[in-house]
Amino acid sequence: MQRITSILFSLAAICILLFTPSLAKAAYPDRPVTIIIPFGPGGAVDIAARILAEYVQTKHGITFNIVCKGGGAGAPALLDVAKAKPDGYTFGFPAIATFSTTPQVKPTGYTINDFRAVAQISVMWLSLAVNADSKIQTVRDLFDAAKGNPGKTNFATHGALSTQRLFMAKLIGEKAPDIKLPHVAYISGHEVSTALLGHHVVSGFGVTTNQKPYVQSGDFRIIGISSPQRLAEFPDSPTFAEQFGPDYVFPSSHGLIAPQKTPTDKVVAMQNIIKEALADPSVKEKFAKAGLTTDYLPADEFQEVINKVWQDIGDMLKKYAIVN
Amino acid sequence: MEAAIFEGVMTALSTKCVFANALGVFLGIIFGAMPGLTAAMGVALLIPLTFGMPAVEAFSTLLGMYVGAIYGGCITAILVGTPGTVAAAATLLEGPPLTAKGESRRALEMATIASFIGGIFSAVALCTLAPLLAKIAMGFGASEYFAVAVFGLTIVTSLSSKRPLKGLISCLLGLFIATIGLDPITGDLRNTFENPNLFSGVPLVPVLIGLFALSQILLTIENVIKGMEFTEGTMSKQRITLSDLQKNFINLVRSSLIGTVIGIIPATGVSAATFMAYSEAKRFSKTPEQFGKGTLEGIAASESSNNAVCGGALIPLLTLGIPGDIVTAIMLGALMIQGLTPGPLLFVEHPVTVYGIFAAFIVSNILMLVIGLITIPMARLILHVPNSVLMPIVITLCVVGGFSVNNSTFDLLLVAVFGTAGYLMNKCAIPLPPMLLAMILAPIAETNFRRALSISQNDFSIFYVNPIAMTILVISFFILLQPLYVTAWRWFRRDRTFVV
Repeated sequence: MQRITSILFSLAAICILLFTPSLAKAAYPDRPVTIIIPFGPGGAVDIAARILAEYVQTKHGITFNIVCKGGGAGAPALLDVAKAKPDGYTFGFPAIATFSTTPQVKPTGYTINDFRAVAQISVMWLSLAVNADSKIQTVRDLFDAAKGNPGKTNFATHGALSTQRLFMAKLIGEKAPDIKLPHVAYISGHEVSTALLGHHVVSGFGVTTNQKPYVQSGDFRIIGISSPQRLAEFPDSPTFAEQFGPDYVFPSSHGLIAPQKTPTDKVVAMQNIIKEALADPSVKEKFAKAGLTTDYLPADEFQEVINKVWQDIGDMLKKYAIVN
Repeated sequence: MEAAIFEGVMTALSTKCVFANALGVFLGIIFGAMPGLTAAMGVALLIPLTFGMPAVEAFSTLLGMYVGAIYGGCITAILVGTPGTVAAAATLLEGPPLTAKGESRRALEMATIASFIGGIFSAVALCTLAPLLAKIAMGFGASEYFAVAVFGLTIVTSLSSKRPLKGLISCLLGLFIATIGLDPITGDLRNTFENPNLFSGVPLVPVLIGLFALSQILLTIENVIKGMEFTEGTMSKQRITLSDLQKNFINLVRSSLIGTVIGIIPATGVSAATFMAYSEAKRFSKTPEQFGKGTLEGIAASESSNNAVCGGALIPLLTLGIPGDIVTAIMLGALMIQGLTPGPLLFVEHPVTVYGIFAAFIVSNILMLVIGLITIPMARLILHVPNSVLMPIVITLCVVGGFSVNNSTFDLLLVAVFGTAGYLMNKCAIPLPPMLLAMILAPIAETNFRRALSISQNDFSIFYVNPIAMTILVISFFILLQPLYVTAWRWFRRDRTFVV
């Protein structure tokens, strides 16, 4: 008798164990979500992730566990995302341009096909600046200066494989193939601004977020922005598009991506959480304070952005053979 | 003007700000003392908490964290021979020998007071000369950076004066390891064997932990296997005396000056500053042979220079919006969040906040001194822990520290590899510091050398036309040859006495 009771008890216990997870499944996410950032702590993306984490924690009681894994041109962090269990509890938050460059240059162990888009969060625009006391007013002026004074006119970006360098190679290749505009590589956008402030380089190619303070202080003048129209915050700064045509629009998109096999319902759930967070006025305000925009795009549209950036960067790398 | 200064100082001295500051310093000391938890990490973690605070209160917290973390590294370096941060790498050369002599309290007190003096020295520079100094630092281009890095590399001669050949071997190994990763100018991969973890080079923290902490543990294990008794850390009551401070007065001022200057020049870094100050202290010391065997002078130099870097790095940040290191780069973000745009206009538009931040920085340093002196007697209790318990804890710290910087298991492999390398180098009597120094300075030297050439379009005159770069390079050359002409001079003197 006692034996039967114990068997019954064990059966009951097994049933409880079997059914509990299926009951809990209803409320995804029911445990902390890991967000892997391919940058060191403290950068714009880290701050953006922490603002979102604060919102979902107070609003929904969801914990975002933010893991900063810098270095290796983003490859080690994204490899972790690609290899993570596709259960909707691991996401990556890369800059899509860097995400698209590294694996098309070096063997990193992942490609675009290892990921699916979740939601776009923020967009930055590439911007080319000169010192305010420079005679150069437009990108054409810069090219003319390079022609008139070969080797003395140059442009600086934050790295040998930066999107800005690729963009410039394409621009020169298509619009001014006869000029020589040497590239000077730095490590970060801040270093580029420092070098330009000290007049060590003629122009610095970064993003508007980084260059904004120097434009406000009257040190820099932006002569080209990669946005489709002029930006409200820089009404006097011309776009590349108006100087050279609509081919020269390039959004530096940032957003959440998940391992390819993550189920669609989880991706949609996370997409909606991000959508709601980015629509919140206090989140918008904190993003603006950190110099970031909120540019929500749903998964399908963000996937198109990623595909296009991947394609564009691949083309630029092949055509302008910066990398052998 | 005076009203703004007064108001700013009063804000920084308000209960809320001082409390926030003390909390920052306390957490900072913990972050600094734990290997692998860095000042940058601590400041980044605190930033979201400061969103809602007024500017001066937010910066009291962040500066407290910064100052505390740079200081805290010395505690573990001196007591258990594990560097808490890269800022304490030079302290590591003198701290453990002093602890072995039973002078841990004296060493810790010297480190605390030196940190305070370095911090205050840089704070004075920050308050009085900030805009002027920042303008001078702007003149530093690629060729000047290259010259400064070469000057730093000449320190190898003084770090390994007894065994120049082995010092050179160690230095060259470090230079070689520094070539691993993406080529900074062309983007080609060098010696990475297609391993994505090596794309951005060999990270410094795992190397530091492996070379200096794990290798020591391996040596201890060897002694245990050989059947040697553990030498229990003795806890003498010997404290620092006024004459210790008097003897080190010039040393402290010189090291603080070096730290402040290196801090002002963006992107040179705190670890380079400590080694330069350490090496200069040795060069000017009356007893240079004591260096490496446990001397207060080395600790005073290293610790005063690393905290002087903090104030130095704030100068270009606040006056030009240029961050000098990772921590100030994160603080630039914090300034923007507060709606403050760094630059010359900051002083005009927000004088109260700026003077509040200056005052908060001074308060941080005072709190660091107070909290530091209170914690020393407690921290020393670590020495009561028997080695058989302490060593496993230190290994755990090494593993946690190696992992947590990049959340990378690959870095743990590096800790193991460099731990073994450090152990073998110890056995061959090859000094470790030149290798570390080469790894710190080689990227600065190489990148700026090639950057200068891409600016000048491969015209080498950029290095000797420029007066600052030229002067630094000439001085470096003479320092490099110093052992040669010192030997020649001695030989000449002896020779002459023979004649007489």
